[in-house]
Amino acid sequence: MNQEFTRAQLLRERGRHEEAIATVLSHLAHQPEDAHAFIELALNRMEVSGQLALALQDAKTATGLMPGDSFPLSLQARILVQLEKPKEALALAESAIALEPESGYAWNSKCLALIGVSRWKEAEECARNALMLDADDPTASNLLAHVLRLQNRLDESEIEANRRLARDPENAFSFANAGWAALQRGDVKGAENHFKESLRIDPNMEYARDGLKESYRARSAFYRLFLKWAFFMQRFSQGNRFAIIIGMIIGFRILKILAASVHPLLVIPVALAYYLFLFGSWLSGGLANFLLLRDPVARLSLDPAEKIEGGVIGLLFFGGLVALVAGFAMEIHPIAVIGGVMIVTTLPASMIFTNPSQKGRVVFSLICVAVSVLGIIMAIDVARHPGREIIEGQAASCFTYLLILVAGSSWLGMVDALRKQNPNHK
Amino acid sequence: MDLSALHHALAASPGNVPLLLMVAKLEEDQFAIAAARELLDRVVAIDPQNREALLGIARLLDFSGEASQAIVRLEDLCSRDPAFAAAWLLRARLTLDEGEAARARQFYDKAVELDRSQADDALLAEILKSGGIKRGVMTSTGEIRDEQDDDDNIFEGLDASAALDLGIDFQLKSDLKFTDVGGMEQVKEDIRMKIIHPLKNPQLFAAYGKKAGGGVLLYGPPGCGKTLMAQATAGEIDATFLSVGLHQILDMYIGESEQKLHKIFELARKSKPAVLFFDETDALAADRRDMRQSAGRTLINQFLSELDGAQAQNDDLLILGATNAPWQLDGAFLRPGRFDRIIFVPPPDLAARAEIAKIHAKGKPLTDFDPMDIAKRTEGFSGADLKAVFDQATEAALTEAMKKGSMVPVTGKMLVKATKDVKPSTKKWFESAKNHALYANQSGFYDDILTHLGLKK
Repeated sequence: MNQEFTRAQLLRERGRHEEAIATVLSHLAHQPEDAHAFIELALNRMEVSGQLALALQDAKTATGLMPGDSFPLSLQARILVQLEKPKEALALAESAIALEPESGYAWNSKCLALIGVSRWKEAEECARNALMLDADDPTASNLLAHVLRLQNRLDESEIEANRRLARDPENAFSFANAGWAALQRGDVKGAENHFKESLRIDPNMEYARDGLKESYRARSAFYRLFLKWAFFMQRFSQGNRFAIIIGMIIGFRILKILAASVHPLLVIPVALAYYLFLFGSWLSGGLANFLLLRDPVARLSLDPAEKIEGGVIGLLFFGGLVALVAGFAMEIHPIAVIGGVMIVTTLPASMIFTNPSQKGRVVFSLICVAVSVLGIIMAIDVARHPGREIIEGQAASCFTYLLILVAGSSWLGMVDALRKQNPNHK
Repeated sequence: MDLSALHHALAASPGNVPLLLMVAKLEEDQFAIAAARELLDRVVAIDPQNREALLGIARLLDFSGEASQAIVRLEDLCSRDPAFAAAWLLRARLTLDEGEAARARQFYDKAVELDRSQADDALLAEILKSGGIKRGVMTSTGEIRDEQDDDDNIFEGLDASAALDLGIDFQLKSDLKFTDVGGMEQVKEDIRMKIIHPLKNPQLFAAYGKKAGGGVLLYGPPGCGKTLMAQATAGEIDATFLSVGLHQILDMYIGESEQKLHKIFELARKSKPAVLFFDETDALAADRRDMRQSAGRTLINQFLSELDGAQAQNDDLLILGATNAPWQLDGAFLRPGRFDRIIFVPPPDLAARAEIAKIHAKGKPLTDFDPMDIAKRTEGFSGADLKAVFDQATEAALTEAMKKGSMVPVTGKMLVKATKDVKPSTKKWFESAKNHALYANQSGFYDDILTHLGLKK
């Protein structure tokens, strides 16, 4: 084998992907039709931030140069999964399996694509197929444990993770899987230990770091409620999740009408539950981060944006709560208004600091500014008219706009373009 | 590059030596020999010792078929400036053309010894084909002579040539000292305590059951002076310096590796007191669990055995390793007797950055240049990042010079702007290092990183 190509493989093995890319490119200058070099290039580019689109192009070139081989097709499928195009990935993975039904790599690629479209049962079958071909395939075993957990089959998931760990006690992914299963079960301490073990082996594993953060956050009962909700929702496909949310909103409205027909005061607990649900899903992350800031160890797991988010959301929410209660208790209504505005500002503010979409950050920052300006105008108007109802005159119109903006931001928060990173930049 | 624009700039600044040299090279590339010669003559008129111009003239003479005159000029240049590798290389080429392969080999080896980047495989192959088989050998006086017929013992006084054979960089004595490295006082102090004092006072350390020499690992973000510190360490202890780089390491995995590694260690032992420096140590001492090929494992085992001194004594031999990825090292390398002393080399501090800025400023037309100001604005920058700052500012000045058709100096403002445009490359490294320090620091290996990041007092 060409020495430069071997050198590139060695560099990839050592995690020196940029140098490996340069070496493969130099090899390709002499052998521009070497399909294996294009595969090598794609494998390296997959590991370099912002080069997924190039990696896909290389895998495509490799497919063109060796059309009868399943590997470049499977590789394309994996890259497409990372580019958040699981449907395209699925088609390619199926073609790879058709070419080589005994390729575990192809079955694993199909499994990943099916996870991307939330088809857990079929994904499970793919992982099992890969394990039938090679009972010791670590990727298939880990995928199986993962997909079982996603179906809430926690015991089976744990058995699979433990089986893997018995074979390979230094497998970071298996520990992370066990951690997530424990977290889903509500065993926060156990989850924390599993994630720590996983990170001891591979400190850069995002899957485990996210898990550890979640287990730290889950120390608060409020966040555990949110997690239960999130784990419940993850069992369903994207479409079904949306239907459940719409159903819940309609259900709350019906419940409110029913409650009002029984006794007007019954509306209050129903409305409280509704707003807790509505706000809770947006604010849980930021508030949990705020609580973590007080823990000298757990706060180290937060990245700078999460720390800022925790600080800002905590200040707005708890500061607002204090101002609201104090303002009403001491009958200084402008203070109460400011407190109330601070609380509602938490909703758009929760979508600024950790939002990977730059467009989203700008939009929600502007909404925050607008809400704050309206709040200040309201407070000034209330201060100028002591003794008047709070929501009257100029304050009333400001209040209407403010509610529209806050409600609007919760809807905008569901727009992918404003909440997700462009996969090409991954 | 637009030659006419450069001529325009030259008209506005006729005494600008760097510009004259640049235009002369461009003319030469277009085979405008007379025009190039005229420009080089102008440089020599301004600066009679300018070695680039003198070398260029010799090259032009050769182009014009006046090789013997070129050789005479090169002889003169090489005797006046014996450290000028490019002159030795051209002399080798011309000497070979004259049919003196043996002498050509001597000149070639001298050039490569002075500057590894001058290595020219095609020229060496031609020399070998023409009979220049014996290596040129650097003697302790700096003279070169033909290698004697003692090939069966390559380490007998032929260290430079043996090193060349093994493909490693070799310096009889390192010229660098700590005083040549600006700032980095904490790292220097660490090195003094962990390396220099034990080597200089072996008896004292022996009384406490400690041995001099052994292995020390320097780790830190890329481009922050680990290699420079290693060289300076060798200079401080007045030791021979042998350096093995990434490509030589990777070649070991491809070729007859264990034997080559053993020869490198033997050469170092022969040259002691010596510093044997492995750059990018993680490539050689990689975690064996990640190895698919058994060849890699054997090489790592050989490395461990050499570090242990199982086959020979490592007294007075300091093995220095540098790595950007200490987390990829096999745990076995960090056990006592191997790389058991660890030194964190952080990005250059304020004083070091000011020093680096001064180095990059050399030879550039600068106005309003305040190295301390640049240093203050470049917290977290590596040496390579600082170079990028100067490159960017120089490009800005050059662009403006093109537009104006006259010389435009690099201003302090341009440099300040460049400091804003260039992002510190060490940030990414610290993100990764922080994860390791937080989650995989059971042995306290990464405590220095935590301290540097302000996460530990």
